[in-house]
Amino acid sequence: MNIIPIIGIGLIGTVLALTLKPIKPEAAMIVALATGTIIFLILVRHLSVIITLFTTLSNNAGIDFAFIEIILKIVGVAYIVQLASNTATDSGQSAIAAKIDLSGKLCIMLLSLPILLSLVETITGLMRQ
Amino acid sequence: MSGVDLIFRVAGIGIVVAVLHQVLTRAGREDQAMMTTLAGLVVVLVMVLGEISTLFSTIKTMFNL
Repeated sequence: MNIIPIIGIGLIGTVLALTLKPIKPEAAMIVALATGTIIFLILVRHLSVIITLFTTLSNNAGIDFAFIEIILKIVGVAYIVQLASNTATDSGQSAIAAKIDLSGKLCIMLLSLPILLSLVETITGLMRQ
Repeated sequence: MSGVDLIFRVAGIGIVVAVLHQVLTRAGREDQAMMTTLAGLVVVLVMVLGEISTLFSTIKTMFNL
């Protein structure tokens, strides 16, 4: 994974978004979104390597796969929410960005409920002995 | 059509549509200028939508959301 093309694409996207800003703000926002998407699609291959390593390590350590699944889901939700809220703040809509952040936090909270419950159960189990 | 040339294409269309808008407004045809601006925007959006849908499906499969 060489970082140079990614930085190049990012800078080119920023410059083009900046030139388009005064002329056509909508196109500038779309250029920024397209740049973010393209950079992520480049990163996807390397990300899957890390995820498989992470899951195999946790399997060897004997951790229940459900927890790993939830952790991966939370990471995915966090990434998408950050992408959307940054795009919204960039184009000036900070109210919408705040709503997206709020919904992301709520979604992550809901995803992590099972872990919380199992933690409480283990603690009460220990206390009973 | 991925990578940098998508970005260049989107920026190019944006600039061309902006110039067209100016020319048409100078020529006194405001309504056509508005139509070309909207058309250019729709074209740009459709081009980028393909990339965004691949992004969302990749994230779905990878993080099995």
